[in-house]
Amino acid sequence: MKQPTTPPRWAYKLLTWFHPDDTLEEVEGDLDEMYQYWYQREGKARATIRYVIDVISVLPPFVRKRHKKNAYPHPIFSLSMFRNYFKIALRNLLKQKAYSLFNLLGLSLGITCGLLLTLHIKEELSYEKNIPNHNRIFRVANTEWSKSSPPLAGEMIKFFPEIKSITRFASLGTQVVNTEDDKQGESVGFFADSTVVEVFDLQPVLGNPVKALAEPSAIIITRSMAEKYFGSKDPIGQKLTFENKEELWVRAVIEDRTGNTHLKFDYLASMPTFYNYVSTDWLTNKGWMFGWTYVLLNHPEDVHKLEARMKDFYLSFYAGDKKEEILKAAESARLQPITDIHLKSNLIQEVGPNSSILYVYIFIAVEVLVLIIACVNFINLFTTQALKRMKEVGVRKVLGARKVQLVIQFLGESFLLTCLSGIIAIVLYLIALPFYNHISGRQITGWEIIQPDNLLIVTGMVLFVGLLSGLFPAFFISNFEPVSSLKANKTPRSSAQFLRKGLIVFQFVVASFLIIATVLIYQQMYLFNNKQLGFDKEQIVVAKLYGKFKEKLILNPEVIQNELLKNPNVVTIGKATNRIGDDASVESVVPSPQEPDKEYPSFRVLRIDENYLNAMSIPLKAGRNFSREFSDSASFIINEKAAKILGLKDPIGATITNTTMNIQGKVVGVVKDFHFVSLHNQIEPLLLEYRPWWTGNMFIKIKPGNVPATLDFLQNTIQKIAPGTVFKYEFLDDHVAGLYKKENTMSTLLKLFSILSIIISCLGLFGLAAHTAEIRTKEIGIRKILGATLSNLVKIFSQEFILLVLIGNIIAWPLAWYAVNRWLQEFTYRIDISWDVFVLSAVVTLCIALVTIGYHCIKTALSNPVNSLRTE
Amino acid sequence: MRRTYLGELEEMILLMVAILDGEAYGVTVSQQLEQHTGRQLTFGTVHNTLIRLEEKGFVASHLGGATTERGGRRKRFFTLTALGSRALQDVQELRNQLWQMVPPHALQVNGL
Repeated sequence: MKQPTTPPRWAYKLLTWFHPDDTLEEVEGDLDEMYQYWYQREGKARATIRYVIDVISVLPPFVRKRHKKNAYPHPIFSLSMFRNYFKIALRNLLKQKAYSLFNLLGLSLGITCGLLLTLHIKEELSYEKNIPNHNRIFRVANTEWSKSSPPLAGEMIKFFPEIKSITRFASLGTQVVNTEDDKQGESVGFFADSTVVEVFDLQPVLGNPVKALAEPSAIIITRSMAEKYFGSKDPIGQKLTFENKEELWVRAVIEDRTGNTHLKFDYLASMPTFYNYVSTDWLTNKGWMFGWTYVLLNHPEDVHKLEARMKDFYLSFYAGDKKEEILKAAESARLQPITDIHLKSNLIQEVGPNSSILYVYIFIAVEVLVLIIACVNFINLFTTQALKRMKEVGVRKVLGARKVQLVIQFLGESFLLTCLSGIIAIVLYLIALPFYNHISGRQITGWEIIQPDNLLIVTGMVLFVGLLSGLFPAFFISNFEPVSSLKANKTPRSSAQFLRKGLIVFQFVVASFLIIATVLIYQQMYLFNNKQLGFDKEQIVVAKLYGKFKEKLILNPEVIQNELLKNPNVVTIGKATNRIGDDASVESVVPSPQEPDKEYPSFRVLRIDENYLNAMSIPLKAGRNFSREFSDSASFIINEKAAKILGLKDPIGATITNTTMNIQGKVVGVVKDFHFVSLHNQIEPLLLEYRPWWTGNMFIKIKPGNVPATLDFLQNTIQKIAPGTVFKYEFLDDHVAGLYKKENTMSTLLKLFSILSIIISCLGLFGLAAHTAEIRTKEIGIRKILGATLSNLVKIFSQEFILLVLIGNIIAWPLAWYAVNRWLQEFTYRIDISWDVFVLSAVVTLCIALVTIGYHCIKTALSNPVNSLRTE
Repeated sequence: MRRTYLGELEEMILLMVAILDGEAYGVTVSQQLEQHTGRQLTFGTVHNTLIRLEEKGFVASHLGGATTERGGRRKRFFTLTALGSRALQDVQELRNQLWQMVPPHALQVNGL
């Protein structure tokens, strides 16, 4: 009777797609009926419009969802359910021991790395933070020099009202110290103004350090130094002999300074003591970079006021000099926040070698990467494992578990695992700490971890990792449809597959990035250690000269050297002012007659004796060595670079002037360029002067073989010549290697972390391979029946993984190239990055990956097809 | 006095369910509403209100048997629950009380 009329198809489709399932049937019917009704009353057009409007009104977000009536209470937090979750979690852990172990191990390794690196970064950032006024203390430096001149401090405090106090440090270095009861040891210290007490907030223990530092021949010592030399005796008024020569009296004891600092000292000698050494006109010399000047401001912001008026200050300070030069100097003046010195300052004659902020960044990056790898691994293994529990999830859902409960269950499980691995990580961390201390040269104790902020970091890290790695599996699993998860083994959804593959690729990006970086950094380190330096660093013992022995040696060099040369294993003994890598004196040297208007860069000056070049095997290019037979005090030897800079075509016999020292003399020899500083820097022009009596270091070339006996001989002979002298020595090659300590530390740490990251990635790959093997058991069974050979199967099985690893590698290449290239810019002498390193990383990761999956691969391929096909 | 809150639309639709007496489902409710009050509502509004009333416990619903009508799709019938009828009576009682409190002249003024 009624013509069956149908509403527009597309609107109907829209309805079936988007309307909630549980009310779809009745709404479809109702709307259909309404359509018929309108169609008959008002015709097709009106009916269609109304239908469309009505459909839209029952689509989300407009439609209200029908909530199922809950006949039973559903407490989210019920104790018995929790007990059940816990039990199931434990059972699962124990049931799949290999998985659980990999999972826990991978995560613990990751967290351990994170802990160590966090601690390292914290240490690096903690420099000077223990000084109460650290945000108000600045060092007066310029763009080149960390030191400044003696009169600067006094003038600055008069000129700037914002300065509360100002203090100077002059270097004294490590010294051998003797007490009157002949206790001996080495201690480090400086000369300092009495204002140091105020600026660095030194706490007096005994005596008055402020008064003490104003007296001549007085020193103040730290509590630990007092205990070292005097034990329970009262140290005040005691005499300490420095370097067997200088006698100073202890006037005060201060509290030990805690925390990291670039200014480490056991004692401070008073400035008036220092004044005794130099003539008064030197103390007013505005060009002499004598020591480090630190200002304490009233307010941290005052530094801007100081900077703004620096030009005016320089104009008054250097009044009388050329105006352009003063302005240029003012331009280069800097006030360095004391907290920046350790990480950001790399000037000439720093107090000691500083670190670099670059390394802090690198370590932060590595830490984040390793943590992410560990998380990714955890996600991967946890999801794979959870896929096997689809049935459990299905049953739970059928029995009325809500999604929230499942999320809580799985999130809880992942937290349980992360907490466990957090505990393991702390144990691993305690085991690893001695190694870390060894590598980085710090003394961190295991108890440091109990400090509240470190505990907070650990907890934070565990929670973060737990949340990050638990969140995805929890939501992924709780979304399973109960019906499909209860049906027979279904392969997991492709989206999850894709994600897990993506994660594997990511892990290998990181792993091969780290491999490439490690290899390239290693190559650079190899270059440092093996580059031809222009001298022979092997078999040379370097000893510092001091005290009575030095006096005798300077007075009677022949006699004493002959005494030492009696041993056939001692080849040559040379002397010089500086060791390789030490900051040599910077002086200005010009040819005479000087070309007008030509500027000459400053020279490095080394004072040596006639044997130094022989001992170091530095070849002469032209001319002759210094000799006792000539009077050579006004002769010079220069290096090739210096000859070029001075524009001397025929250097031998040319006259040049050291204007700093005001000496004119003839060039008698030219040495080949040699690296007298570290390879961070280029070879600078060098001037060698013959001043055996100024030298402070002895270079003893010895024969290889029976080195301990030779050293014993040297020690005994020196003791005989000057009793009470400690023979402090080191090998030149060790000393040269020490110049790259910063890079070495990083290289070693990076090596460790790249190995770790590879292990963690492999754990992940192993898990994934196991899972794939399980899923594909039947497929492989069928293939075997159809005649596939073992090699066929292995190929089929492994090609997927090989692809993932290769993709990871290819992504890592440009990243690694960019990063290492940036790092290499730090050095003047650097390696070329060659392509074979990249291929190497690919080969290495591939091999490791193949070995990892090989076990499952072969196991599956060898299994009897009957078994795999029969199981359902 | 415990009062159940009923919105104006909810009250209307609840009344329609009472009027239809067992024959109430989406289509009949919206048609009745249109006939008696002249209001044309989208179907979604009616649908949502019915669900809300059910959540509040004023109506109960059950699916009717399958018929040959409308492609065999079942209808969801709504019936008034005791709580629903109580709510309607409450509303009416309240209105009556309020009406009685209105002074007669006030209405006359308004009516003019």
